[in-house]
Amino acid sequence: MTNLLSVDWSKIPAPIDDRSASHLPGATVPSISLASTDGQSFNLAELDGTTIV
Amino acid sequence: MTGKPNVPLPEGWDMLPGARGCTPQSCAFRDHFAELKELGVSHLFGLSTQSIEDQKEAAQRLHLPFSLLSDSACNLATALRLPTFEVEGRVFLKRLTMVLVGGHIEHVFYPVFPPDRSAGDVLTWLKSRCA
Repeated sequence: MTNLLSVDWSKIPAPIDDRSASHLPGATVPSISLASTDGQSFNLAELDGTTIV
Repeated sequence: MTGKPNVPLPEGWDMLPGARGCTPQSCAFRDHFAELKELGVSHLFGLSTQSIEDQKEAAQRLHLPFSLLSDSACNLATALRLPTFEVEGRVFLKRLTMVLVGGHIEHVFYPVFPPDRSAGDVLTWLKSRCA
């Protein structure tokens, strides 16, 4: 059985910055509704304040 | 993708850079949830291309105080051109953390490694923004 929490990160290859996220800072969040585990749905483009995803 | 305790991870998962660690990342955000709120975070979500059923199982098992959002149709991933990778014919998001403010992406943490440090990195960034 895999232990999902105790991981020796020194044995896992680190991801490199392949620049595939470099276009994201400053981008507009698209208006898309996503199903949430709390039973609601959220549109990240419409949230007030600071949101961490 | 958060793995399940009784289901093996996809073959070679550990050796895919950036694949392993959704559970530790989620738990780090769980453990720092109150601090993030104190630093002005209004909303916190996990995001993956898993089904909402799989996400509900993970959210309950890990006692996450925040919700997980399912982009199982890759609508958001496609619209934002989020970094993805494919394993066994399934599309997954590469691990990244985004700070959204007023409908725009203000900051992106990418790549995220090790995953369990992700929440701490966000806290450090939020503190420097407040300073």
